[in-house]
Amino acid sequence: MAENVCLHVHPNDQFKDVSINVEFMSPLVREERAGRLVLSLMLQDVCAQYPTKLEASRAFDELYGATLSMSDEPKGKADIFECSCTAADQRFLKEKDILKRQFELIGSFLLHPLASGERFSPELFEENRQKAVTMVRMALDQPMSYAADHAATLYGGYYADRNMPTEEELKTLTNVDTMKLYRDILEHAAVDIFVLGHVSLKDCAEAVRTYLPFADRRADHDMIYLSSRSGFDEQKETRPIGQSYLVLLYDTQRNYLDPLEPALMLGNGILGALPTSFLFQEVREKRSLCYTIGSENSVYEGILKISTAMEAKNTDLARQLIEEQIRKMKTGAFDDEMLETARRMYINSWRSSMDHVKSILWDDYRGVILKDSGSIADMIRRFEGVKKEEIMAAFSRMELKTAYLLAQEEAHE
Amino acid sequence: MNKIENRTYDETYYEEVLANGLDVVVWHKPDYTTTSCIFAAPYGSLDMDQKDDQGNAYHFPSGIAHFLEHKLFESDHGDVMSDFSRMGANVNAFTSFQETCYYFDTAAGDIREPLNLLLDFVQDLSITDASVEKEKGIINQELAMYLQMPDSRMMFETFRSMYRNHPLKYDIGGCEQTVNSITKPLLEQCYAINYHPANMMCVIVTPADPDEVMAIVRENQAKKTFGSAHKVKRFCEPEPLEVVKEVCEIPMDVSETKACVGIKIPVIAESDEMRVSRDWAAKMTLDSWFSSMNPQYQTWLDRKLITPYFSYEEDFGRDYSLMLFYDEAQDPEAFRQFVIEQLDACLQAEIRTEDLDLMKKRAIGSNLHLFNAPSDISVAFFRNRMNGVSLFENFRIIEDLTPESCAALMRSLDVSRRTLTIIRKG
Repeated sequence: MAENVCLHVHPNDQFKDVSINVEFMSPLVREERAGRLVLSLMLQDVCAQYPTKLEASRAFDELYGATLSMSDEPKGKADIFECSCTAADQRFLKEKDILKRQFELIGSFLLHPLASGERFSPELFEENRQKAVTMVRMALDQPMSYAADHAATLYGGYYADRNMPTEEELKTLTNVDTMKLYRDILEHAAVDIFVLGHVSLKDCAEAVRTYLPFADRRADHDMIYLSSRSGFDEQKETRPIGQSYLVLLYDTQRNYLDPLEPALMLGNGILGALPTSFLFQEVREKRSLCYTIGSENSVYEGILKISTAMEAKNTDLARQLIEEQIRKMKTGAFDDEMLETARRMYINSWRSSMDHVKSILWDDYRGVILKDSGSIADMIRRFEGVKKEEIMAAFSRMELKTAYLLAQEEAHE
Repeated sequence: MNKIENRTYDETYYEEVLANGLDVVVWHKPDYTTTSCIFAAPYGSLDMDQKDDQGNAYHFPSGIAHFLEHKLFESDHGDVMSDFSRMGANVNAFTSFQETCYYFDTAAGDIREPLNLLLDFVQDLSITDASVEKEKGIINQELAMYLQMPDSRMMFETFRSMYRNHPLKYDIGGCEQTVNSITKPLLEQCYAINYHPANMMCVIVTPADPDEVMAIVRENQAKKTFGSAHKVKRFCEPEPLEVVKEVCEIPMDVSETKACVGIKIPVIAESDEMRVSRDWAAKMTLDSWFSSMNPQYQTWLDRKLITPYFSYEEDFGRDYSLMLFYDEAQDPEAFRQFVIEQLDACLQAEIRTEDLDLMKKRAIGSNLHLFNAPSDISVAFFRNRMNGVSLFENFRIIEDLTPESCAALMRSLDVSRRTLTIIRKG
């Protein structure tokens, strides 16, 4: 549509609504996290054309309960601001101009905020800044989120920059700076617009030209990187809570573009991402130490996270058991059946993602970002070829970098 | 096998009640890759006390439905989850107040193996005393985790303050004491009473040929024998109209104070259809008054009477009726006063026709959206059927609502009995 502004139309008759995502990709900058959170809340609230919640609510209901959400999510070393709108497919309705009105609604909320000059409406800004503060407090009141947040801070680098903004960052945020950030995103971020549903390229292109007229921009940002932290750090904090929460972060030294990444993904299934996994079986099922335990492979960073919650007295034993399972992955102490199970689960899971709107849209976007077309089918083929030795090799460089324990106070009494 | 088509939403399903009484629904989604299947019992945490048609009474400790859900995943040769994983299928289960659902989804072309396994493991309780004891540790850790979540704790404490006898006062998973009191014989008795195929439902949403899928279920069930079905019903001690505690304050390690106003509404004896109509009327009435549809909503925010996290819900069950209003309220007492005043005003007002029309449009969009997700279809179909009104009848009930009918259904509600639950840093 313009330089670094692309429209991607994915015709699909499977779903009964039409989903449109407008993605803005910029480099991840810690200092922008607070502004981006408040911006996402403000822009989805009201706009110049619908300046009250009442009018905004009616506009969505007139479009058969269309939903519009703005979000900001760091991935790798990029920060992706997303405007996402879903509305009923007009095939099932008497009214036949729904797609055009859906684009019009996105244009109104995204490009014409309730603002004057260099500022958003002061009331709107304050209301949503306070909402963001409460959101952060509520999230950190969940002990597992608190532990994950503090573990990432201990780890540092881009991985820590991804954390939610702090209360302090939100309180010092100004309206003028937020407006500058908004304009910067609109004018400089790479824009990709995705449409999924019973639509035509011609109708979508016409609507984008009318309602989302973005200008040329220079944008060449990378999302993916390989995290490599030096040394090991450990931190323990106590709070008056009912369980202890353990978060371990490992450098995998491999990311999504690594030839051994499919092997690492299947290995992660064997280690802790599946119900058949070592962690689930050894820590939960055999010893009843916990209800929840799992491992998560951050493929755009090269970091593997293991987290669990249990009684304080059991955390040392759990940690020993976790290390034991990592050693099994490195030495190949897992049988062919575990590998075949993980292979089937991952292939089916990726195949299943073709039935989920969000997964399809993300797969399309990931293909654009990584210049990797047909990624679901390709990844399934790569899973099919993974050998045990490759999983051992994929885990060979894995190293524990940080250990964070949020402990029950009782453990010290 | 009956074929049911809905032309408005372009959806088709097939239904058959098998010889053993199992109700089977095959919902055909030819454009999809994934099959999603639930096998569910209308047996939830509230069904602690039951009576059968012979007059026999049964009492089970709180949390037994959830405990049973955990233990059904165990089979003679090990862990059922591992068997599903070997087939490349995701399996899981959940227990709510009203139901226990076991489900799997898979994108593998042939569903014969996982479908047979789902039917087999749910219809075979294989437990030992040792395995029951081992599970207690896991479940108690699960309960501890939920108690640590402020929102989940607030709901639990609100129900405890509202109900003296009704089992809503117990957590779905029970508590450490009741979990520890559960034994193998108790689980077996509870299972025998509540997991007969005639009491259960299987809903399969699939791209596969419906005839072939139904044949798999028929063949599976024909191989098994079951005793006669227990016709059991939940039995609750009469519930006093009054709440147990008007105010309950719980100290927790939180930074934001939370408050929940629970409204205990006397149950009205009526048909399922009338009860569901009343529930929809309440939902629409509350939405029109307590959401951004109300021009006063922004004023409430500006005057800090509510925060943007203010929310509410209503639930009209067969043996309980309630409304809940909750928020991150710095002044819980002021929040209670706000809810009382506004609820009284809300129940006296009539929804404007244009607002009701907008909410009906919203409901159409929401219904269409439901049909995108196979797992949502299967759960919604089962829940509506168990609630006494089918999924598509629900849509018709919404369409038939008028401002006058909503007002009439709301004015008969007595909302004078309330509780306030506060979660505060302490």
